Amino acid sequence: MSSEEDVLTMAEATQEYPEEWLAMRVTRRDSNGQPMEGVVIAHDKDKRLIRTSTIREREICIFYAGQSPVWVMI
Amino acid sequence: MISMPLVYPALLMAKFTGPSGLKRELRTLVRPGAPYCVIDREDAYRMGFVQAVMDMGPMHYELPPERIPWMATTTGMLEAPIFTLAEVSVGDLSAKRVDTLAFDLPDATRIDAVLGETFLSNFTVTFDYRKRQLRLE
Repeated sequence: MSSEEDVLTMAEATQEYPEEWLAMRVTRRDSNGQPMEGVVIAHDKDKRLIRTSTIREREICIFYAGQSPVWVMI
Repeated sequence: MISMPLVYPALLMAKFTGPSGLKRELRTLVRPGAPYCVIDREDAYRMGFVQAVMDMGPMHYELPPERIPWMATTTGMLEAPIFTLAEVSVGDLSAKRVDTLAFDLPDATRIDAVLGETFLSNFTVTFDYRKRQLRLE
């Protein structure tokens, strides 16, 4: 877990927790309303566990910190 | 208006609000060909849709058949229950009462949700391939 003071950009969070799922409380957004910065409140390699550990959060942003494998949708 | 570089796959962060008011902002694929929005069953369950995890057949979903559509995929036929999200939004664009499928997307894609026509039909959506721009307005 991180302290409330640890505001990270999305890129910094991705670098800090590579290839993990992150739950972030967003503190700043860009002109499209997309998250730019926030506080990482949980991180885990397991997509399901990140959901469980943030169950009490009313509003949270969840994303995978890393590159998606190359894929195409058909 | 949302205007961002068009890359493949077209991903953005969208906010999904369940009937209970729980909000989850998720990495989301913009997919105009999809008739419904999609979120993972666990997220649907957390948002108050208990039927999302009752996957033992249509009888156990306790929903009318029209709320459990069959989906044709390249590998077969699948069924998934529809539930109604209180709101879906991207930036300052939002739509209320959005029908959404509770369906687990492949983990390997690293995406958590799909924006389909139940959301996109509320807006003008432009895939400008020449300028490499995606716009929603």
